[in-house]
Amino acid sequence: MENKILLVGAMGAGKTTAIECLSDDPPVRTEARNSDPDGKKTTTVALDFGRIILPGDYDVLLYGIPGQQRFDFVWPIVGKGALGAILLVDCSQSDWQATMESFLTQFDRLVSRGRVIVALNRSQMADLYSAQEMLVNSGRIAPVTVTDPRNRGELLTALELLIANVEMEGVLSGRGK
Amino acid sequence: MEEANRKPVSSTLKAKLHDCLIAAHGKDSSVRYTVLTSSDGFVIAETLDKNSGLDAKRLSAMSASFAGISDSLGAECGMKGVKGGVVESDNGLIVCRSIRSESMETALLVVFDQSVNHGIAFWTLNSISKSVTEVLNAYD
Repeated sequence: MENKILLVGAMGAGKTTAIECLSDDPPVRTEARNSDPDGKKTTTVALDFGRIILPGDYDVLLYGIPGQQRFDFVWPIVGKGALGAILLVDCSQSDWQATMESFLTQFDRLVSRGRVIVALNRSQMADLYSAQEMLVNSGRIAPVTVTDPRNRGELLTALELLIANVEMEGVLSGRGK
Repeated sequence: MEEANRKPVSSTLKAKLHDCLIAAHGKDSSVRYTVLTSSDGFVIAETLDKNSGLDAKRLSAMSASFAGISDSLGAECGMKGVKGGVVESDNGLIVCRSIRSESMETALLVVFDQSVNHGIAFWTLNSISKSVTEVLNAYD
């Protein structure tokens, strides 16, 4: 049985890159030309999909959402049945704290159950403290990691951390096979 | 904020594309409305009734997602030259088609009422697509 994990975050946070980096097989992508002249060339418009088998026969299905607010109708569709989420945050973006808060609110159902990992990218130590402080001040509990979406090892650490949190509830499929 | 960063489509081009969409209503009375969107989900032109309560921005984003899914699904199934997708309902048809030129990638959404059949719907869709493509190519 599969375990569905979401990768969420703003456009340019590294969701597509992370899934490409993590997936055992070439991922499914839905890229379109980006109209933003200051942004990257393409952007995800529906979803990314990848798959990774972790030790212990954890069959993890990785779903990435499109990060722009105008695609928010996709989020509950893609997120249906997800066990948890990795929230990717690019701290080089000027409004990253507001963005992080927005996604924590949008995915509150998972956050409130301790099933979200906040993965900071392009961050300074001060950003890490700031993110932790934000979580404490809002009464939320979520591990914060520093994760480069191009670094498979760091991504696996974040994924393992998330899975460990979910595992504590004993709901993960494939355990002990 | 997303709107502010967007590469603008000239008002002249928008007007010409809007004319293409309006013309479709004259050719086929089963066309309820049309939306032309950039492939990343921004409205370029639309023919929604202002009192319909429908949001062109949301329909644009959904059309872009649908076109993106259609492309990926087609590729995954080994299909080449995927053009778009169809949603069938008791109240009519929704057809979405990707239209590309050298400098622009767009998706066209056409919603038909229940009087339509697939043949007429695709004839109309092809007709609009052709005129939109001609306009886009002329502006490349």
